Amino acid sequence: MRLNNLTLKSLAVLSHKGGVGKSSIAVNLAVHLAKEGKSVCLLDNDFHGPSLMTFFKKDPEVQWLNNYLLNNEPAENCLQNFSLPLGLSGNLWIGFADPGSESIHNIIRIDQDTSFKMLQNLIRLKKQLRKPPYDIEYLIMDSAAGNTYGTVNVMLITGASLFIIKISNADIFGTSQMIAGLYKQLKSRSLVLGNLIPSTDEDSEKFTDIKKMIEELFNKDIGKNAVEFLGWIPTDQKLQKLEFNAAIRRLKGDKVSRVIYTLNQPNHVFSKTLSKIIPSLFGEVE
Amino acid sequence: MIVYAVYIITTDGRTIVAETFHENIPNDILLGGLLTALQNMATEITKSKSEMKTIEIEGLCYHIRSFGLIRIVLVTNLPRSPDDFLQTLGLRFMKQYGETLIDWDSNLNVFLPFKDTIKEIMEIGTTIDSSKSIIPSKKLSPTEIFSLPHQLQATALAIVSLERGTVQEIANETEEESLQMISANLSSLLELGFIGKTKTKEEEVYFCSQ
Repeated sequence: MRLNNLTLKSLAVLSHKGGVGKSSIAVNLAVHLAKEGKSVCLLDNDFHGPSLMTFFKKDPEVQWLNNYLLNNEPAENCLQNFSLPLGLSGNLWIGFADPGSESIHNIIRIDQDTSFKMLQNLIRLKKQLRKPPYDIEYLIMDSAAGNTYGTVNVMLITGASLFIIKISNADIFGTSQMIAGLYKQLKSRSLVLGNLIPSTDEDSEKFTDIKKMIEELFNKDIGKNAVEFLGWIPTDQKLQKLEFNAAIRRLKGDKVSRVIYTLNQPNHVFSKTLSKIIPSLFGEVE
Repeated sequence: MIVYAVYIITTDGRTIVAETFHENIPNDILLGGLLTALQNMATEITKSKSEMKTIEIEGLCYHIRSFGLIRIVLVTNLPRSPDDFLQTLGLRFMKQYGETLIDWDSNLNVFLPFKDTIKEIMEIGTTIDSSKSIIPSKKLSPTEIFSLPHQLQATALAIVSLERGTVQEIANETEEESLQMISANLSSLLELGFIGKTKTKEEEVYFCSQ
């Protein structure tokens, strides 16, 4: 007899280096799924550089996820439902990491015992999320870049690890080495997704060659078919301008959040490409 | 709290009762001498009248409390002093053997019945590893779990979440494995020294160190 609902699918979003758009991919995936009527939980496990709160308006009454993981705050006080504010047909519960300097200072000094406590509480949270009022079907965990205690915790409790890469040498070779180092110990599936690839129609042949080269690199470093390369998410000047304008407005003092493409630009190639790869991410390809 | 051993030591360093629940626990004669020497040295150096209460060596925490002519030493996995247990052990021992100690003829056999009292006190509220397999310095930290063979990771995560549980409870906590598989994994984790096993009523309960 199993007490747990077996339908919860979980994904860790990871990267070798920062600035590859990891949080953006995690947010857009979560919002897309919730828009499709699914019950989704998105957790910010990037305690070194939290950024999910730049996409959403966090209720000041809602506690930080740090307080649940480290200070025994009940989980229900640390999760906020964005279903109504974003007009989503499903549920989107989000747990935010504390961006305050004191919190980041504490995380830097984390020891094995604290990390153990965080892992213990993450496992318990995952169990709680399967039950009402959450009934979560998809758990997405945004992690810090590189290998930290937090990264290990996230990889341990999720069913698949999605590594986001940019096509720059340091990033793609580093990612390949990072996965190679972790692969033997990864019980979960390892997936790789390219991001921030310039989108132009005439380059499709060139991209086929790039895909082949990337697959060859991963096959060589990690082993044949050990990692699934899912393709890449294109970006263009339009999206870059949207991001830039939002940033400028924020600098000017407007309380604007970062653009969530799957919500605000659903017909853009970014959103369409991302939604297409979702079945592969969660092993739902028939 | 996991209890690895209880010692009763005279103030001059002789161990008069030693009840150990772990194979890799230090020799009781050497331990009695060592703790007494440390205690005396600490008092000498600090010129303090208060005693050393806890020392930690190789993942074991030695908690010490004096009762007149004897010291109770409780060896556990946690640095927090188990004051209630030290108090109960000390008072029960003094009640039973306080007068004996005054004219004691060095016959250790007179204290043997107190081993049953120790077990009786420890049975409530503490965990004793009947398998004697848990290694105090080995903890199921995230990096240790990550380094385990794939097939053991889910079982290890389940026991970390529960802290203690039967095979059935641990199976319920995992997502995909059978009872038979869980039992085999628990045996492997026992062999590796990451977990211990204890018996409550008719059930075997597995536990990990926090």
